[in-house]
Amino acid sequence: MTDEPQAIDCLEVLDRLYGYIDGELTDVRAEEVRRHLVSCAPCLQVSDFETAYVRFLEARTQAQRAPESLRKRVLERILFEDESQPAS
Amino acid sequence: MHVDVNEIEPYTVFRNVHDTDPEGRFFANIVDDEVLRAIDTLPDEFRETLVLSDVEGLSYAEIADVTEVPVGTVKSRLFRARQALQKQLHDYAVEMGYIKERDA
Repeated sequence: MTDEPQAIDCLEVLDRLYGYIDGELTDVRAEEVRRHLVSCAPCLQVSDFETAYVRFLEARTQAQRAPESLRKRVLERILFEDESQPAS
Repeated sequence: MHVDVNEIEPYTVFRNVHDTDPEGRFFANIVDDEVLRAIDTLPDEFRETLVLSDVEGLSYAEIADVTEVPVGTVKSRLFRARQALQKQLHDYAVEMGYIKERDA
C-alpha cells in the first residue's frame, strides 16, 4: 500500500462519490477523486448534481432536526450506554 | 407506499435529467413536506441511516455505532437510500410539472 494518490477510473469515482461529498474519505482517496474530476467532465457533472442533491436534502430537513442540546443527550445515551441497561 | 431500494439503478435520475437540468435545479421546487413524505416511504433501516446522516449530520462511524452495523453497510445503505429518495423526488417533480420527463 502506498499513500501517493493513484489514477482511478470513473466507476471507482462513482463508488466513492457520496463519501467524497460527505467528507468521509482519507486525504489521499479524496485527492484521487479530485484529480479525476478535474479531467473528466461527465464525472464532474454527476458530482455537481449529487452535491446539489445532498445539500438540498440537508437544507430541507433541517427543521426536523432535534435541538442541539437534546440531540447531544440522546446520542450520548445511545453511544455510551451503560452495558447493564438493556438497549430499547 | 413503500419503495424497493434494490430496484433503483445507480444515478438513474442524473441520466434522466443531465441534458435538461444538470444542476438539479428542479429540487428547489420540491416542498419540505414532500421530502419528508418521501423519506417515510423508505424501508426502516434505509430511512434510519439517511435520517442519521442527512438530518442529524452524524458521521458514517457514528451511524455504524448507533445502528450496530459495519461502516461498509452504512455506506451501502446510505447510497441506496439517497438514490431511492432521489428517484421518488424526481418522479414527484415530473408529476407536478416541475421538470419534463425525458423522451424514452
